[in-house]
Amino acid sequence: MRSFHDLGRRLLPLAMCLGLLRCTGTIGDRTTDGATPRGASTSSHVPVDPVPLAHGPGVGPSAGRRLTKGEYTNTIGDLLGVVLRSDDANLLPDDQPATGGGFRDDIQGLLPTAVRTDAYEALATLVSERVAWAGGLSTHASCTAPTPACREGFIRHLGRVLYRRPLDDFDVGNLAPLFDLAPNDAAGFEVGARLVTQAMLQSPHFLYRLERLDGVDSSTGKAAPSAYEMATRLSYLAWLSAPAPELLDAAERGELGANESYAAGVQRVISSSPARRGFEGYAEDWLQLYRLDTRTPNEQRGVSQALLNEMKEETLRFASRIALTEHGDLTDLFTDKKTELGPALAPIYGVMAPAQGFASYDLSSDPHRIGILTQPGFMILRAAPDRATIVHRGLMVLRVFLCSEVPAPPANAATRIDSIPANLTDRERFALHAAAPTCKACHSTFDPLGHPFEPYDLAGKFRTQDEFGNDLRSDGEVMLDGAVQAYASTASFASILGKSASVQRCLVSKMFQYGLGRSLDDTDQGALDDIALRFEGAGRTYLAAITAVATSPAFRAMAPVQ
Amino acid sequence: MTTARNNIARRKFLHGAGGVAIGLPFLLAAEGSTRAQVAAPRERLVTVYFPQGIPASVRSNGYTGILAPLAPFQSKLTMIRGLDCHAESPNNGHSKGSSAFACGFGTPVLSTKGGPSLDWVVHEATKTDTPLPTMSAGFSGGDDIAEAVRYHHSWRGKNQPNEVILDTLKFFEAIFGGRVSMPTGTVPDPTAVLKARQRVSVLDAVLADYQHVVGDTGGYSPAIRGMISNHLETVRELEKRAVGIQLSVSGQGPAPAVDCKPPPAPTKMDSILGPAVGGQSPKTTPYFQTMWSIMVDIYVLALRCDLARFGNLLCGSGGDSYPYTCPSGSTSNIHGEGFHLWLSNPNIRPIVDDHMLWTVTRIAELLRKLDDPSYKDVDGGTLLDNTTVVIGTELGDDVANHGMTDMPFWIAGARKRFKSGDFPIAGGHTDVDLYNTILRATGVAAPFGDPAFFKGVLPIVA
Repeated sequence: MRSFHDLGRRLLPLAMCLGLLRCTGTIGDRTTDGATPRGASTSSHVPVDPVPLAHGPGVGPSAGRRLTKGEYTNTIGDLLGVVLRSDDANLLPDDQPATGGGFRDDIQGLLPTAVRTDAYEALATLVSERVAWAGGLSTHASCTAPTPACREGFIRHLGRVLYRRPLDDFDVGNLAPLFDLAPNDAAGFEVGARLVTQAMLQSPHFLYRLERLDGVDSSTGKAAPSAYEMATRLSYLAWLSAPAPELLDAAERGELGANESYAAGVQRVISSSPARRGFEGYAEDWLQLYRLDTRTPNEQRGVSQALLNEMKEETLRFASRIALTEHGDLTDLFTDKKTELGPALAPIYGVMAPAQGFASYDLSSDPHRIGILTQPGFMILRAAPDRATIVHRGLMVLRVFLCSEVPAPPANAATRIDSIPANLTDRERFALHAAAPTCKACHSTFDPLGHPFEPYDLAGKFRTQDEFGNDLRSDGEVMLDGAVQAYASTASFASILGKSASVQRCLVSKMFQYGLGRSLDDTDQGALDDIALRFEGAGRTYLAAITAVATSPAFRAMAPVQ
Repeated sequence: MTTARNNIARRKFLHGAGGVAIGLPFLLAAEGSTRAQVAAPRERLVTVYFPQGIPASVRSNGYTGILAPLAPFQSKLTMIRGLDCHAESPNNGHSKGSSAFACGFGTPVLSTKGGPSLDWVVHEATKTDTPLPTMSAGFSGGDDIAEAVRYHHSWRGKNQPNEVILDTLKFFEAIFGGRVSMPTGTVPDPTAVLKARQRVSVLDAVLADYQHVVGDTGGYSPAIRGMISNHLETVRELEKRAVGIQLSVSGQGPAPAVDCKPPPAPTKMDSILGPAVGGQSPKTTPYFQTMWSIMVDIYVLALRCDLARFGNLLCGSGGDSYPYTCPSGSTSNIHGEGFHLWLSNPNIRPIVDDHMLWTVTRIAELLRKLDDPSYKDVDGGTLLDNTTVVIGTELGDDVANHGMTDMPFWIAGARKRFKSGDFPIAGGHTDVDLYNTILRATGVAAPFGDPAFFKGVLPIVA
């Protein structure tokens, strides 16, 4: 560790440079205490507990969410057996996450556009032509005679699956005339059925998770989502797809109504095979791994496209193993020492690369690798193309694991540290930057969360010195759960996070937010308290989290009416 | 039995049906109405967005240096300097300025702009009825995908983006897909006719479905009906285009203009997703440059053919980070290691200057193609003469620190409604002032943007 004397000697010339530091946008503004950079050796003690939430209507999940691209693709595959190739699916633009937490299922980001409407039509045409008749669409037809009864039977049967509810007379009356565009025989029935399918796949009842206002719980007489709507909420939460016919049957039998049978239904859903896909979809959003799909490679810094692909794969495999294969405590994500690596990623860890594919590795002997925090895929998520800073990484910890946020910097704020000599360590540079009063408040919040990551380069490789020969450190202090906690290494920082009550609450808070499809507000806090308690009591597993959310009164409540 | 006549009657019904009110009650000022009554060029307005700003000192010597590519068009250009932008948003200046561009509002959420954009307001005011209401296309480096306001600069209103297309082939398909030109006397292909008819009928059923949800006031919340109503609007537009194609394949459509034969489809290029083409990788300026030329060609042809009159061209998005190489040197991140160092690092400045020149050259390419004298608009002028092109960005003078003072703006063409020349504006005027000035000169009387930032009309009107 560098001595204070050494640090002071090296920082002395900086006092002359500090006049260039500006954080308020006023030219000539100077820092007043730049010669004594605070935080260079210790962190300021700013709590990182979640910020107060906005006031809002709260209560149930957002209603009317459009299917995300992933949900759409899964639904088409599950219900019609048509596996969309990526170039087909890419007719749809990628979903853009709303700003409140990075989830792409947030209703704020799921806006209709003309480009999407065109894509939905193109895909509906493609799917309706590609879906098999024998063993596919024909299973929805009890007869294929050109009669109103056969047509109606087909529309009602297929529609119940695609619309996730029984069809009403309007639906049938609207779609039946499409059969008239086909020859009046059995072969024509298939043509008509494909046209009906094409229309259904563009319907708002397919593309959106519409929920009605006039549902009533027959046992209480109070307004409530229908059993079909609950089946839909559950299946998209757990499976990232539409309810299977069996789940719709359970809804029809009233098995998703009473508390006991509903809880049993939840258990069946979350323990079935599509739950793995559901978890991976959740994890991709929760951990914002989708950012790796569009990240620009930087070969000069050792970040190839192959490496980016493996980074995402590693973290998904890691999280899935703990969450689903081992049903582990989700705080193990911070401390688990095993992982799976591919040939591009293994050299970053300094281990022998597998010949092909992914292989398992036990990293117990490597003190610098622990859990998700030191996985390159997590550390690079918000980094600039050419370098990762403690700020980028601290902000990721703040947002993903502490459910917190910092306000936007004001216009003209110096959000860069270019005027600070580059031959200092990241920690030193940002300590000088944060010395300005207007920068201090926010940087004191997230910089300490980034300090443990300083020894890891852009690609995630551990090093003891940077390119200037500076020794790099991973120790520091952070104020968490109301107490200042010192950590000596990245591993001990990870351990602190794993034990933090704030982090544990955030783990289930994210699932709650994902389930509701909207940002949480202050009126959700009571429900979150209860969910967090149940999550804690059930071993803090993924199944505990999703069960606590899916069985919470909030998840089962009517959507807020706006 | 569903017949073509039934379809048309049904469409009329659907188009005339009520539903959730969309849009604002824009009024055409007397000048605009009068102009509309005489044989006048079509009203067109296209916004052009480029990222990262251009420092004020670069803009204070006329059309020299970095601005030299614009010199051939200076008689048709109004350069406006000195305007500030006060928009707020949850992220940094890229987000704030992007939110405000062509809209005049900040936003509390970055998934939507705070109101309709300039092009859409004029589209609505002029009741334009082209096959495509708007066209938004261009390229982007793809950073900060969570922020829709950085990508989409044509909006019908809150939560209603006219989504930008970042793929040459997708853009081509959106403009020309399915269009055929049948020489006189050609017998229609019955299979194509049937397909087209089926397509329209399917879309009619889809339309009715959306209309039903929008009208179900007891069944669905206002928020749901509002969202479905927004979607309904886009289905209507699609169905209208489908009807046009049905007529054309049936030999009943209007004869296409001589110059409006759909060109061959371009090579697929997506500025973020690729694929690499001709050895050029996505997220690089050579790739963007090739894409831009294609996009602009398609865009200009669509304007000529009157397939659309409004929209946005995206010449990159705010905060884009990608490598840049030029004779002066190279950087792996033109944003973070380029623009942000423009002021402080003299070694970097020539590289950033070159990138700014590259961007201005792209804009000049657009103006050149719009100003092609081989195309004569109805009054004999060029397309540029008769199109209002509003060019701007998200940052002002202090590009290193996300500054939003002294923002760069240009107006090109615009039917000579604005004085040509360089207009340094003093007095704390804003981007909102500029937008309102443009609208008033265009004949749209409704106030635009955040009224808190409206100080008055700018002295640039001819």
